[in-house]
Amino acid sequence: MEQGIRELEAAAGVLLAPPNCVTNEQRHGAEEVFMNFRKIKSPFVLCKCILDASTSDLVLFEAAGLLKDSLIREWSSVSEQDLKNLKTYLLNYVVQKTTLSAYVRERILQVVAIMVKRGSVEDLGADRGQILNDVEQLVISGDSNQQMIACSVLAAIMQEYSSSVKSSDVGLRWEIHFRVKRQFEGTDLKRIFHFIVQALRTFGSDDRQMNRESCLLLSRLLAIAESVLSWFFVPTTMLPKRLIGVFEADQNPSLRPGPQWSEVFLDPAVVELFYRIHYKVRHLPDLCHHTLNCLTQLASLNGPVMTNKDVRVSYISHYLTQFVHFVGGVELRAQECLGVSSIFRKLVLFFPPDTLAALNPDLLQTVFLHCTRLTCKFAEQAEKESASPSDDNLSMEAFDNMVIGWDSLGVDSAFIKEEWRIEILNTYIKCHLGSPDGIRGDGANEETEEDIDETEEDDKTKFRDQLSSIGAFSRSVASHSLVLLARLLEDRITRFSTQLQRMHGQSLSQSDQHQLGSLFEDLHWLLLISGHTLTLDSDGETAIIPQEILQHSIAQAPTVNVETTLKVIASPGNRAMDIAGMEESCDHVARLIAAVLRLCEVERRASDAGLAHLLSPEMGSTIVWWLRRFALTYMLPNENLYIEFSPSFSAAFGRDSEGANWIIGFLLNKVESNLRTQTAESALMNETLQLLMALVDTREKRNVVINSGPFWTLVRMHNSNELLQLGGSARRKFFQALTIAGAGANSPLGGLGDQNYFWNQVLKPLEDRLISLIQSESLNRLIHQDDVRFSVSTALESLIGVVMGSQVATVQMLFASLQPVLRELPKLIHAAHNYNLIVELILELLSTCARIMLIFLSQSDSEKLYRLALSSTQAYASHTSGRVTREASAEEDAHRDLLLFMELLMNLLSKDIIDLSPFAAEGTPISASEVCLHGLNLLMPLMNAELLRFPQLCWHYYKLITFACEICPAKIVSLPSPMLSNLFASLQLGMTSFGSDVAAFCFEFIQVLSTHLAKNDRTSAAYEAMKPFLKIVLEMILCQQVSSDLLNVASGTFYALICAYQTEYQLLVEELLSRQEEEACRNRLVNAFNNLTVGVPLNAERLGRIKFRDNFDAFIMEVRSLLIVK
Amino acid sequence: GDIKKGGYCMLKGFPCKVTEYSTAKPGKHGSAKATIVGIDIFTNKKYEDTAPTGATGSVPNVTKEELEVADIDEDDFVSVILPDGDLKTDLKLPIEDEELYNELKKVWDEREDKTIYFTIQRAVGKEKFIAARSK
Repeated sequence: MEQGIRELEAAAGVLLAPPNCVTNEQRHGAEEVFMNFRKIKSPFVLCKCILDASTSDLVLFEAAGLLKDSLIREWSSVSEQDLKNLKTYLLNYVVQKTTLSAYVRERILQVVAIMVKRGSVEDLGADRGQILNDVEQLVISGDSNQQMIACSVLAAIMQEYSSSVKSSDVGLRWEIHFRVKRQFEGTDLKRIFHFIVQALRTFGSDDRQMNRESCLLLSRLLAIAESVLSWFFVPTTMLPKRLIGVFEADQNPSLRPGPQWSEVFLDPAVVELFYRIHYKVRHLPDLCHHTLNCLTQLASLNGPVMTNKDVRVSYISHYLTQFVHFVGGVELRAQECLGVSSIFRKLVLFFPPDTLAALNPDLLQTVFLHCTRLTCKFAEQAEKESASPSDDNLSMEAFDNMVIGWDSLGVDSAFIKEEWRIEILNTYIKCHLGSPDGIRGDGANEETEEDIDETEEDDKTKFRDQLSSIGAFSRSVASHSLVLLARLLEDRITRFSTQLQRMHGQSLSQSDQHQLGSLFEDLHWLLLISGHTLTLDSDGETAIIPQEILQHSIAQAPTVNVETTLKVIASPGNRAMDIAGMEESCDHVARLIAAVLRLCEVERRASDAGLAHLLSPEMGSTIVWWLRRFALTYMLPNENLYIEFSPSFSAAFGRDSEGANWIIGFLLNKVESNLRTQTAESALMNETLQLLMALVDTREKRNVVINSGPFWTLVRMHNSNELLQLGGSARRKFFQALTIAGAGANSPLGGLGDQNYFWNQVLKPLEDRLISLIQSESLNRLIHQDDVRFSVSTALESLIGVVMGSQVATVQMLFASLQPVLRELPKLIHAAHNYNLIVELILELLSTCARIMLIFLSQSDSEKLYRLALSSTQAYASHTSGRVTREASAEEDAHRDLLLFMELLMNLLSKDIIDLSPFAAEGTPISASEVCLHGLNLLMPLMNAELLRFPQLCWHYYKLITFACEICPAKIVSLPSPMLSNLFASLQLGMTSFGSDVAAFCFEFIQVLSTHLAKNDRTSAAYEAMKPFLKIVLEMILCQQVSSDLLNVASGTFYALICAYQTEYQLLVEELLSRQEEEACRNRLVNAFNNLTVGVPLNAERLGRIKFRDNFDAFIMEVRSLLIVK
Repeated sequence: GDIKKGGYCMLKGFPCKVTEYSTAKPGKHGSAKATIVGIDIFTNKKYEDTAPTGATGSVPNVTKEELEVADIDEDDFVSVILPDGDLKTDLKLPIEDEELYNELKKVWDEREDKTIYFTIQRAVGKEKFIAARSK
């Protein structure tokens, strides 16, 4: 044995040696030593010897690991006395060996904890109680070393019990984990907490300065307290495993203990104690982190302990008294802000308004007053933080927490006084404005000159939630905020305009640039705040005018002059203050909107005057973002949605109003101006086209748009090739919007809004150009000309946009009118096959047709599209198969092409699932899955294992075949055998090579297909070809190659395979058993296999599969623990 | 605005296929500029350049034509049949690119009774055979 230990120590020495001191072979040899060591059976005596004799930490660590595995495996065959002795030995070992490395000690304690937990399954925690007695003695002993060890023991035990889902490696079924966890919670967890609270009390009452040792101990005690307070208490009713898994994965569970904890948490002394300890340690960041977490958890107390409202009120009343005492009595330190804000957030989340209403009003007022003060303080600190070079954003997080808190309370709640709301809003605005009105720092961005990457989120996205809450604050004090925001904007716009005029024709000085930058930032933030004030995030739903804004406008109506209001809106070229009556009789909402229109005008004039280079694309896109939200919410609203409507809004934005016509024209002009001058800024382009989309989102708007002059300017721009600079995705959106606008064309013949006129102007020129080129005899020569390829690409991009813009009402007509050009696409592939970008666009066009149009198409139109897809695939394959090249990008190009094909086929396939076509199928319809499989057959020769290494292609490929198989397994069975064998080879590869997503697809595929085979078809070639998978799947399961998230689907697959191949399964099992030399082991295996199928009908039906799955979980536990040692 | 991944552009005077395209801006309110990385389509060397997204960079006219091979002589000159029926005989196999050279030669040598096509790539006054296919 001694020699064995020496060998292990030598191996450990090699493994830990610096890389240059040992050879590879030595390293492998050393690894081999440990691999073999881990396989030793019944190593209990051996491990004890090692622990006693060895001084190498790694060897001790490995010995503990071996102990753990063997205990789990052999638990039932070790005598109770031996287990008891071993546990006592390990505990004593840790207590006595004070010099042990932390990681070895934790590992050994983990073994103890596993033994405690495993033992408690049988003795219901009797032995655990005994150990806790010992641990308490250690703490009371006063010896700091022993106290620390005691904490480690407690932490290890809690760790083992804390999760029921993830603890499967202890060899227990999940239901048992669940049961023992619940048993532990109701008894010893409570005891541990009680005990920790006792220990903390000695710290709380102690006035002495803390030394290093007591800090360490306090930190451990607090960590344990924190774990108890953050514990996920299992619900009283048994939930399915998957649900519990979701709960346990929650990083921030609330404190929701069972009813037996009432007297623990409802004792006011507990909350008081944690506040007292916090006072004591608040200057120590490491410790106050724990205390604040504990206090945050205590602020979330809910569930069965809160038996009625009185209990809740009394608890929170006491908590808030302590809270006010704390935040009112001290100046918060930097490390406390986040914690305090979390407390507020949890408090209002878990104590609803009706509970708060029952509190002493004075107390409540004081709480909210303090919280208002803190919100403002955090906002200011956050601004300072963002201007400083460090990456800290703790104050911003704290501010966000406060805002979320206010939000869940409802910012218009009667608890919050109007003056507090104004204070918060004003502070927020102040933080984002430059001096003299604001306190914004000199923006870190401008100073550091660091490039901002395109992938970085913009403010709109980054602060979306925050801004929408601030918007709510702003609306709740509309009479204050609307005028304030309008004035601030008007002031900045005047300054902006003056500044631009001053700089016109002059060279840019440093200070000019600085001033301009500061104005941009001011305007940008004023737009963000006012945008969120006037509009809500609608996310594709009908955007509604916020109630408070509408009410404000209605209430203001008696003093408003509608004429003046319209005049203010329609005079973007004038300064606001120059319009008579603006201050007294203009609607406040309209005034704010007019300010933004004025800003547009300043921007547009500057562009026209050749000053586009001075403008900020960031601010430009914020303006367009603002206009889009405005257009979605206010333009031509459905007044029936509102009980009462504002006369100003009706006149300025209402349906059939002149005001609305004028504004739509103005917005279209803005779009036109941006398309002309800003194509280089892709984010701005994107926003601009979103605005255009917002202008055609309802029938009413489309009608106005299509009859408006500026819209036809856009069409003309396209037809006269003024938009050639538009990038691909912008071009698509542009045509999508035009096409949607076309759906509004229903005016009498001959007018601008006439359908035929519209399509002749928009669609026809586009198609004609492309068709005449493709049909030209010299296509094969012309395609090599740069300009020809460019115009082909732009035409294809535009057509993709047209298809994207098709809607239920227009889809039939559009598909019919696109036919002439779609028909020619295979020919274009033949001619342009050497030019990837064109081929890709053709595929995207087809794919978009399939994705958007197909579900609405009649059978005969669908078949046209199927045929087109197949002949395009064929054209591609005929030029690509057998091609040899060394081009650097060849593989990536091929990958992109194939990916597009997979998408195309997948989109086709969806027709078999959803078919909204109004026509009944005539004749025997061709199914999309047939087309899909046929297409796959054409592409298969172009695929190879190398290409599957591209994750996206890989994912799409496996998804496609699985999808096809699910829809129609019979079609798979009848595939020609070369394709079938390719398909099965790729399945086998997919099960192990590309991660769990792909493996899940493969399992799914096999499950569906073998279910089909089991039920219908045991004579086909596919039945034979599928057979090897039985063995493959069984081996994967036995060798632990199936990760735990796949076990579920693997069990279904295994079941289906057993049903399909029962004889083969019997043979396989017998062979496996015959390989087991040890009788005990063999017997256990025999049992395991018997239990696996006992009571399960092998008919490949759903009920059988579910029954099998239950057995399978137990099977896995048993078999794995047996086969860990090969 | 038309430069994108997979397209062509001149980088530092060389005709390149774009492999990476990203944009960034100097400061929050600055104008976008693009960083383009590309691979020379004749030499496979990598080049990188930065330019404002609004600038009109020059784009090489890259053509790729698949032509039937009539013969390859012992000095590696390839005779290909042009679309108008004429024979082009002045371009050699790419000797400087050993792997490609071997691949192309192999396709030709193992042609048996199949027709062989080579793809010829032309740009900025240069030409090169870049791929082969047998039919």
